[in-house]
Amino acid sequence: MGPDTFIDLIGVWIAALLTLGVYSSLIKDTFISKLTEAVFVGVSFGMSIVFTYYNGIKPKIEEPLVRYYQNLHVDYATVTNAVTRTVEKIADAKTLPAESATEELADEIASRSFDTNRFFAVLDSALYKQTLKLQSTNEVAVSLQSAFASSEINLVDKATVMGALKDYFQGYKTVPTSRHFWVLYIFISVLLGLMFITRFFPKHAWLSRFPMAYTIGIGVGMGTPLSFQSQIMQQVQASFIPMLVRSANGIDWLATFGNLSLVIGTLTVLYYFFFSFKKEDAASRGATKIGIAYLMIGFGASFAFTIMARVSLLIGRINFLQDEWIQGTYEFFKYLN
Amino acid sequence: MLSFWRNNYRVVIYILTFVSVWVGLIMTAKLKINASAATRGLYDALENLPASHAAMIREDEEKLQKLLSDSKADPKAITALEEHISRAKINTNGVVLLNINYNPGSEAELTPMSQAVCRHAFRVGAKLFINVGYDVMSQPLAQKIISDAALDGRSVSPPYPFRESGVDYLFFGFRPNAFQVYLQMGESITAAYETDYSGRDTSSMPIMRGIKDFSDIDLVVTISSFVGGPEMWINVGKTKFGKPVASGMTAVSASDYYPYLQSGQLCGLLSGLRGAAEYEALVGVNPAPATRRMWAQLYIHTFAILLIIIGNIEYLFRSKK
Repeated sequence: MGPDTFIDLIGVWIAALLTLGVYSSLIKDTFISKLTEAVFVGVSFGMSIVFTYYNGIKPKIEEPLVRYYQNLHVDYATVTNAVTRTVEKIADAKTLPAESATEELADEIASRSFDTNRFFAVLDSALYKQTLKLQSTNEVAVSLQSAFASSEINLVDKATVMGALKDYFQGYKTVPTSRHFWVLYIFISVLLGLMFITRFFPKHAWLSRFPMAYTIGIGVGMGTPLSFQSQIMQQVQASFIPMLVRSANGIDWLATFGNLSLVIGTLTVLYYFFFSFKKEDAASRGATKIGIAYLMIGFGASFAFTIMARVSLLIGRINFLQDEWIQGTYEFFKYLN
Repeated sequence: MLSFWRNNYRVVIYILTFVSVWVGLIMTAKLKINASAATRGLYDALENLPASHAAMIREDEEKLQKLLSDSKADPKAITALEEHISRAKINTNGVVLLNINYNPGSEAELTPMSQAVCRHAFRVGAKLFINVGYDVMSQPLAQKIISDAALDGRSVSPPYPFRESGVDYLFFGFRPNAFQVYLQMGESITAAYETDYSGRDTSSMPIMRGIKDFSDIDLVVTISSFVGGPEMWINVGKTKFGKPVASGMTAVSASDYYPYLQSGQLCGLLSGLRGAAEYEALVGVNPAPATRRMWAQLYIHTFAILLIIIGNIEYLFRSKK
């Protein structure tokens, strides 16, 4: 639980001092508490940028574009030779089907006849990967091997396999036409993203409306039908429940009471928020009061849960200070000695 | 005395709060925890996953037989169903997708429940996929949770052996525009996540054998601290792809999600630290971080109730004067 290395120990101490720094604001707003706030915001933002780059920009934009550019200039013969050699090796080795396959599956694959279309599809999936570096014969070989290992194609008949490979090369391009369009799509996406930045320049700020409209349009278009179904239709449907619940032993009074209170609560709360006419008669006032009572119970539950949540955070921090900081530091130096 | 209290009550309350938590944390006596129906819903869904997966295969086979006997049936639908069944037969213990969607601010409440769910999925032997939601800061948290759970199989009873990344579990990491990525998983999981969090190609990993798209996932568990996080999975996982969805959340937002439990849109719900402790008790996690913190919860809640009573008494006295 505590720090294992000296670097870990420094990390734990920094975290502990920052925790105390944040809590120092309970007594008074000090330089320390403001510093910890600034450190928190700065570190969070810095980490967000780095993670977004490594998980979004790098795999989705940078790597496909770099590979696309490199593959445009690759020698066709080098690639076809590498592919031929690898497929030949796979056919020679007869290691297929995949090692992880069960005996039953292995027998089934061995009885299958060679499927040319599937063979072409596997080659496509291995050779047209966004991030595949065609210049590297090693990478091509690994990509083909892993694709065939999970393909469950019977490649035992080498002559047929090599014949099919020859046919495949007749239509093979190192960079297919679809990849050119894909790159165009990446450029348009990047352009739309950059348009957001124009908000910082009042003269050109209007340009940011285009990516905004695109993003909101996509979000609303995809989200509305699903949200309508989940949050309205299914919720309304769930409120249509029996008012009298019967069980094998007669009436289930507890379930009946639960269902009744749910229906009464739903109707009275909805009625409370109905402002189209004055609610002056006794029945309306009574229904409104019941609605308010339900709302208060709901708010009370939310408030209680909020206290529970905030207290949990405090417990988490004190637990950290006790286990990792105090006890962890003690055990670290005890172990050193 | 009263004037001292009026001038220094904040500091006194802070100190007593701190002491209540500290005393709670050093308590070693065992606290009996009864699991609520909401927590048990997720536990049962995960515990019975192999059985429900087998039942799903049987249902699909019956459907296939019906389609094969129908001369007007679409051949594409028959092929798709055949492929789905053959994939499902590879994943004998079922497939779980765990979505971790919170930042360090909610770690105290949500990390214990994420750990317990991971360990339970490993114990059941299900294939486990982990992704993160809106917040990029979830990634380092999720990474630690999953690697700890994979290494430490002895923390549950009965224990499970070491679980290997890319074979037993796969952590996809963060992708921007979570909603679109989740929808893309309906087409192809490897297209949505071409690489895992460390940049390895996902399509060639052994875990992906028998996994193509969202239809191959049996259960979705989302642990979220963000407003709209569980709703997104109810929309995508339950409404669009028809998969059971369970959720764990901070206690602050728990009361908003009970209606989804009542409607059956969520099959289980873990609310805050208490939900995590209940889940730990059901799974038999030891050491159990959430359970250990429940004494502190008990003391601090008792203290809060006392403060409310004292505050009301003081108010009564003041209004009388």
